[in-house]
Amino acid sequence: MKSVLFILWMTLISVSASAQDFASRFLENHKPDANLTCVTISPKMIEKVMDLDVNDDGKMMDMISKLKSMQMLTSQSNGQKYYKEALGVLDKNQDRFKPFVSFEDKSENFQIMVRKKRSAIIELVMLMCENENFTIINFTGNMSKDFIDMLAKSMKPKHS
Amino acid sequence: MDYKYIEQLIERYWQCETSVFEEQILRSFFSQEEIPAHLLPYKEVFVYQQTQKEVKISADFDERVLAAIEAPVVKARHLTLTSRFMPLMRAAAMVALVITLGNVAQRSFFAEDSLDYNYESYKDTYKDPQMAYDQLSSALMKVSEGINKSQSQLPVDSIVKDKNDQDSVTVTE
Repeated sequence: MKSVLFILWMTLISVSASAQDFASRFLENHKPDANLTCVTISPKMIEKVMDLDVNDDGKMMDMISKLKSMQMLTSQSNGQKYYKEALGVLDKNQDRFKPFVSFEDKSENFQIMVRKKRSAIIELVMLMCENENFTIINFTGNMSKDFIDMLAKSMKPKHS
Repeated sequence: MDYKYIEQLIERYWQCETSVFEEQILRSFFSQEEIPAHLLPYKEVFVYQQTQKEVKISADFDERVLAAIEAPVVKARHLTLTSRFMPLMRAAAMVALVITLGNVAQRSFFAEDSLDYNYESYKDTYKDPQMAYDQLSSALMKVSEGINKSQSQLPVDSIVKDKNDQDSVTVTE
């Protein structure tokens, strides 16, 4: 009986434990690494950003309003190595992250993965490797299909 | 037969003036078979004393009395620190279990409202919201650029299919 309760408790604790986003996980595996630069924007800062009076027709603010946080890791060297390692972390977390879109050519690779909860995307991870430059962009928030549509359209050439 | 002496002894017996020897005489007298009628009422008293004198306790009397009055043996139990604090630990475990269950239930019921990330550990890179805005815009543009880059290489509607079905799409130039 005691062991059953203990196992139940440990399961509950593991379920309820706070999760880390992808960038934090990756960074934790590379501590300390002077090549990696991390930019973090917390939910509190996003709230402050939302209070800014920005003239962008509201599109950017609309997209930012769907975000809760952002982390961006960059490195200007060993891009291929970091990219492979990041893909390895994604492989280990296949249940968590599902592939969204990917692109690959001789000089540039990128991959976007998403983590969904019910119908919403709660985490979007973009891995990018261009020559030796490596970037992880990691958004968390409540991103719907409309958000992705809006995001895709925001950089679409006007003639297309 | 003259029973004057016996009568005197009886008289003195009731006055509590007889010696042990005289009382012995009385008991011996009343232990006889034939007692005069006027002394017969006293017989029972002295016969009783005589018979009671002969009553002795049984051989196992001491043992039985001691068994009846002996206090039960209380064995000393060795209490460890763990067993001493066991009730407290049980109570703490129950409280922790209830809190954890509540936490899980809350996360399940309000999953749409709250994300399970540990935002407390986030340390902002910028203090100026404008700089944060610029960085966010730049990052969103990069993601948008990436989506469009793959879209431009894909057959018509592939990105829409991608978004709807969540299928992976890889483009190789």
